[in-house]
Amino acid sequence: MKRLGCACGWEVVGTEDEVVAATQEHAEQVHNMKASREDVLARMESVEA
Amino acid sequence: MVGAARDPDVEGPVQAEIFVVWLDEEQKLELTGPCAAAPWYVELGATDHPVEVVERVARHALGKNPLLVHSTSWRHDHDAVILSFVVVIDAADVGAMQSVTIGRAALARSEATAAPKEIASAQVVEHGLRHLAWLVKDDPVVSHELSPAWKQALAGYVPEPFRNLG
Repeated sequence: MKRLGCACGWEVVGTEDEVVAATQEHAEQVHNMKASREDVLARMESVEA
Repeated sequence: MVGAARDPDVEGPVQAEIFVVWLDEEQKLELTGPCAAAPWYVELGATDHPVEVVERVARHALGKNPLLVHSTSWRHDHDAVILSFVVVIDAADVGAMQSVTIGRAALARSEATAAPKEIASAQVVEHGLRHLAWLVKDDPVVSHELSPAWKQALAGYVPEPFRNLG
């Protein structure tokens, strides 16, 4: 499982694809940012399932 | 700026900083939002209208239409121009978001020919509410949108125009 947290307090845990999709949606809709898959992969971390 | 966590990837030459405020049942002004009491940063592209972007992200993140969206100050910080916005929401729209009572703070004042060396987040909020106190007297739209209880809560703030903070 993967995890990614935003400095604003939002976080997501899921498969790599789930974390990428959720993070891209959060970035665009809350921070008006375009996050590439590579951007997201570089920031996510592995967590225990 | 001190006292504010930054979204590490929010960058660009112009950024918006949003403070979501509401009035609780005890007539206390509260700070909330998707970042709880922390400032909420948003990127602004070259073709983005700042007010439109802030209204859109606020409506999406909060799930309801805000009562007011107003830019209150600007400053230079983190290699960007930061436009600060106060977004007023109804108490019924706070939902599960964390919230804290807004305390008072002394304003960050510029030197005669230079910006303040540090500006705390609380000082930006203080000025934002002072600007709302000015608007509620000067702007018929703002005066119409804010309830008598809101006007009473703002009565203790010295009215200030939009201005640069640093």
